[in-house]
Amino acid sequence: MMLNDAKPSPLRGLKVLLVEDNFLFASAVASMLKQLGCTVIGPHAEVREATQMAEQQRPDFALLDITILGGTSAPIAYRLRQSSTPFLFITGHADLDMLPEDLRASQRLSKPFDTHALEAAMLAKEAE
Amino acid sequence: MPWSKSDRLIECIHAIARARSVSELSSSTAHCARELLNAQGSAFVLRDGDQCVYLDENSIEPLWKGERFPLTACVCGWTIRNGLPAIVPDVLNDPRIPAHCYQGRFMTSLLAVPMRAEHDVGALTCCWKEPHTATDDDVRALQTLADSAALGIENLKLLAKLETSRTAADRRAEEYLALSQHMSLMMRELDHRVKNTLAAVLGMCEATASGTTCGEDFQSAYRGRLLAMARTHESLASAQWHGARLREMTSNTVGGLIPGESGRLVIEGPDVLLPSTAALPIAVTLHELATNAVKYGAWSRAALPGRVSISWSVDAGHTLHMDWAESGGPAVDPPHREGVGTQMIRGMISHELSGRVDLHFLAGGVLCRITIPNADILLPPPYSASALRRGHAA
Repeated sequence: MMLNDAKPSPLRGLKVLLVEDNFLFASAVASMLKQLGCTVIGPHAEVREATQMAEQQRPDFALLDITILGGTSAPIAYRLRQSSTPFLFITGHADLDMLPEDLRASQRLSKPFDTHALEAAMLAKEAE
Repeated sequence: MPWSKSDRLIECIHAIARARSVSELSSSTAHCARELLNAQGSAFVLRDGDQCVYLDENSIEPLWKGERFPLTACVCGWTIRNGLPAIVPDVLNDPRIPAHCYQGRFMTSLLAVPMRAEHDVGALTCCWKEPHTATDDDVRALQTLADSAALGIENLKLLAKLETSRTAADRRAEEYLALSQHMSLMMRELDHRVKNTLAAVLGMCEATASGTTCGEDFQSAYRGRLLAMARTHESLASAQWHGARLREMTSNTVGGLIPGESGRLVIEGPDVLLPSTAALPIAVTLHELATNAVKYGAWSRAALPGRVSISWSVDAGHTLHMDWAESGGPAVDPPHREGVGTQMIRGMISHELSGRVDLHFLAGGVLCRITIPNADILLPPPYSASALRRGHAA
């Protein structure tokens, strides 16, 4: 999972909120983010806790699993949208139905993924 | 046949063809027959096995509407059986007619014709008050009506059959639609589960890689963890994904790792059904503890009578308390730092289940206490909540 190019990622230094209730995968994503030079907030598994973190820690970016403990990550997405913080849903297609309609068109990254796919998706979102 | 009469006949045939029910058809046929033949009565008779049924009539006085007669005991029966018209100038004096049926009735003469298409359908009859010998024109007109009516009746039967099979086809189509909707839901659910499982496998791979220094160690550790996950899926599948039976899952996960005789493992606890979300973290925990016991703990020395006791109970607040207790093994040497396996189980239990793992390296053997609040444990019968609180199977 090492990046081939020694060039530092343009994502270096970003504070990324990670919301994912699958611990093993969350740990893998956290280490991918660290490889990209990002600081990880989390991983968090629970709606209320993650929403609080979104408010208090002021992340620069967020990765949100859709179905998490205590519901879906929709409330977190709305909070991030208010503060114009970019976010990506990390999910399989099936989860999209769980979201309110206005969030379904949001960018998403299909699970599982590797560091390259994560970096590419985050850069594309940043460039929007 | 004069033009006006044949025009009327054509109108009658159209009316018969338009009929959408047997009663509509029989009523308009009887009406047309009486009018067309200047008769005082007409009857529409259907064959039903070896009987005639007087289905409808159009008459100055009631005839036999609703009644049944044997085919052998009426003039309509004769017509049906012989497939020929019966021209009867005098109803009281004809061998084909039981005279007593007509005594005191208004009619003197009658004409009956068979109604048949592919099968015998019945008969159509007209009767006159005054003596009247039916003419060729009468017979031809009545037979034409009867033929149309017979076709009409057969078409209506066909239509009813079509309607029945269309209803059945509609029902099947609906069932198929419901089934395919269900299938598509299942596929989405499956997609979700597979992706999450693959994501967990990826995470487990990375965690294992970070905790091992050589390829061989990685391979054996990773294989063991992957197989533990696979067995958990088996337990979940065997309970249709409603959950996993804790007792079965425990012996499936740990059983294969016990060296030597079976007395080295004691499992004690009610046979609760764990929610599916709790299955993997608990199975991985048991797997890590068992692997550790084989490497360093109670199961590491064949010569020592080391054993493991796994026990659990659920308290009134739905908290699951699970103990892994080793005894009789070699003296415990506490590790200098927490290994990847321990980090993994601690992480899964706390992150996914808001639970706690307390690991004690006691001199007599490892003791691991797992506490999972709000475990929402389902009780398969015949276990009761009170049996659970006692911590024993009923």
